[in-house]
Amino acid sequence: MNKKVIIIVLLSIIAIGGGVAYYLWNKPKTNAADVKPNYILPADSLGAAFAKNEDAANGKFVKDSVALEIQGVVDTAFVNEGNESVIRLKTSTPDYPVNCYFNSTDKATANKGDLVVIKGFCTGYLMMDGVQMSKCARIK
Amino acid sequence: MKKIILATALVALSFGASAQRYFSKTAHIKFFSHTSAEDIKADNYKSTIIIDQATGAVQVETLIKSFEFEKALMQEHFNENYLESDKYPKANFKGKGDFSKVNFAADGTYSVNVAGQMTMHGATKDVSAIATLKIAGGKIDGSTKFYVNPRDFNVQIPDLVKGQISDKIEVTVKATLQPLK
Repeated sequence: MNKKVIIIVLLSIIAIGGGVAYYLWNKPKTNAADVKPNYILPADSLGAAFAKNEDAANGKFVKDSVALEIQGVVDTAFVNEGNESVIRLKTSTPDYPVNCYFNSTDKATANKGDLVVIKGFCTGYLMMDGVQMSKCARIK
Repeated sequence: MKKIILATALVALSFGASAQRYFSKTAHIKFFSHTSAEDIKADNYKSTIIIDQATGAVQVETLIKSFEFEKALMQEHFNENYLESDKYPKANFKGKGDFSKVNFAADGTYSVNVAGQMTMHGATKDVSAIATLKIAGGKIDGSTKFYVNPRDFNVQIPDLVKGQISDKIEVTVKATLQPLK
């Protein structure tokens, strides 16, 4: 009786462990749609924060993969060579626009001048290109 | 004599006018690790490159969190355990290339020696590679390939997965360059 119980428990542990490992290995890439934002701010403020002090902005907006909800006006929207939709938001700091990248499985469109709200994760500032956001989801 | 000086000045001026900087904000950086246990690859289409024809300066910058893996779990491990992208969000290359034989205004294919320093994960190492510039109809396509050892950049790989990550990772860079106005 005891042996049977031990075997059943062991098999259950192996099955559960295998199931968890399988799920983790195959878990899908997600976007920020269902994530509660840690910060809600205009694109202008995000661009200004990186222009003022990149290290401080990285510490606040990039570290720990915090989620951001950004409001801004569309400068341009396009699909890059990696098949990712990109919506670029204007800011008043010319070299610091906010580039919102969507997963290649999520298509996003917008027109120049649209006022949009986008959630995503900030990945930092790239020279000549601006502030980068990934795994974006358009909320409005 | 005055004519010679004038001609020399004109040549110098025309060279100065044509020598310029070229850039890409959508450069593709791919890395590929091959072992008998597993092949791992990641792509990043959001890197910037700028080259200065006159000085030979070459600068590349990329964000670590912009590398996309096939598996979400691999991407998590890459960022959190190996490259520690919260602490070291960027990688960059600063170096020089010999563009003296490249005519950016005419069609042709050129090999350019590029050498400099690559910084990643808080460590800086010398890197050199041969880049190819293919110029056709005003379009400038650049590409290069080189190899890095993660241990050279203080990337700690646990014993458990050592057999799955190569110590000779192939890095490929491709970009279509535009004149910087």
